Amino acid sequence: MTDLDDRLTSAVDDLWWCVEDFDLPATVQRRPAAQPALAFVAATLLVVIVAVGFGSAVRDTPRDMAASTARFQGGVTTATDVAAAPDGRSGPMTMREAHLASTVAAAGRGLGWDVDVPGDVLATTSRAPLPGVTFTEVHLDLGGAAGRLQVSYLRGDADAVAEGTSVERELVEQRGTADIYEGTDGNTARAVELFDGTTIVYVRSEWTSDARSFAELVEIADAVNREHGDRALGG
Amino acid sequence: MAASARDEVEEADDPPRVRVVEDFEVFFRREQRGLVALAFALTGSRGAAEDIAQEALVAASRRWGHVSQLDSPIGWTRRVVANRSTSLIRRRASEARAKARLALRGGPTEPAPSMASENEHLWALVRRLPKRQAQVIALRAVHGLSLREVADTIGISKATAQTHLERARATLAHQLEEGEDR
Repeated sequence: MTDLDDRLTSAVDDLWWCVEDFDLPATVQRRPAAQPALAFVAATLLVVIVAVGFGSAVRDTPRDMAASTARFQGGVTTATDVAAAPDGRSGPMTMREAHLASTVAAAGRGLGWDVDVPGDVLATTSRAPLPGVTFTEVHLDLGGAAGRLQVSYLRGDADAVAEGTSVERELVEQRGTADIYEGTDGNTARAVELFDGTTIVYVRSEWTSDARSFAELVEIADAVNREHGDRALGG
Repeated sequence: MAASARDEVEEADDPPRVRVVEDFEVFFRREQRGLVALAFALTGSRGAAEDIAQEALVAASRRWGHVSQLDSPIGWTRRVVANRSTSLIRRRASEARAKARLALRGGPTEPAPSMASENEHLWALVRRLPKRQAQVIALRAVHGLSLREVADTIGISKATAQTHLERARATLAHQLEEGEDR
């Protein structure tokens, strides 16, 4: 092991010698613009994300629940369209939607929420906005009309997702390889967005729902990422 | 009343906690090169290392009001660097941006490192370790952190950090030995 220590010491000395030679900027610099092709892909993905109602966290204009619901119900047509059911519920859930709802429910019960699947599933959405990109969203009833919890899951091309999520938001926490940002979503809700390479998990809750704290939303996002990051929901 | 009296005593005994908020520019000048060194050890790419360190410092500067109040602002920033450095996807994206930036400057896209080949080889072995093991080794070696400091930096227990360190050292020693035998 002494040999290893010697080798490490030498390697560290050499590393520092190299780094000392780097010509580093004197101040914090904003990241330069991405390559045009990448920027185009990112912009396209962002437009799609916003169109399907996933881009709430990147908007800075306040929205209320009615607008959010209208966006959800009116802006998206999918195989499990909300309008298909007379009571406002979705049609039969796809496996992806059911899996996502179950994950959220399990994580929520761990936080002390009273949530039941499929009983509390208000609506679901899934689609493939771009080749190689999948999008799944569930809305759960967490305490009446104003208690809706929205969880959206997007998985796709790593570069496009990375650029798409690197907008002007603040990193507030890291969980393993995941960066978690605070989302802005109106005066009546809180939201977080988790980014983990090829994955984005967006969790939004009304102030009056059982999800009473930002930390709880982080837990839900983390649970979804851990459960689905490399598995069933992946495109 | 008893609790109230106890609180008062404790309050009287505890010296007032005054945290001096360091100016971000001072923090930046002191820590920038060390963050680049950590990222360089974990990525092996100068461009990616500079970019990842910049990203971490930008993140710290945006939240400096919060980060500067933490017990270890540099620990928070190192964690950002360590996590981003060991994320392959992030590394690729950072490298692409760094190359674009260097190309815009008209400079070389990736200056050849002037490290001795045996040292380059050792860092390459470190980068092939599992993520946590690589982070533990790099934080210990590059910054000379204690196991407790390493554990706090990457958000694991001291015992887990010890396990990662032992496994990493065993793997590295074995691979170096194998290389010498050839």
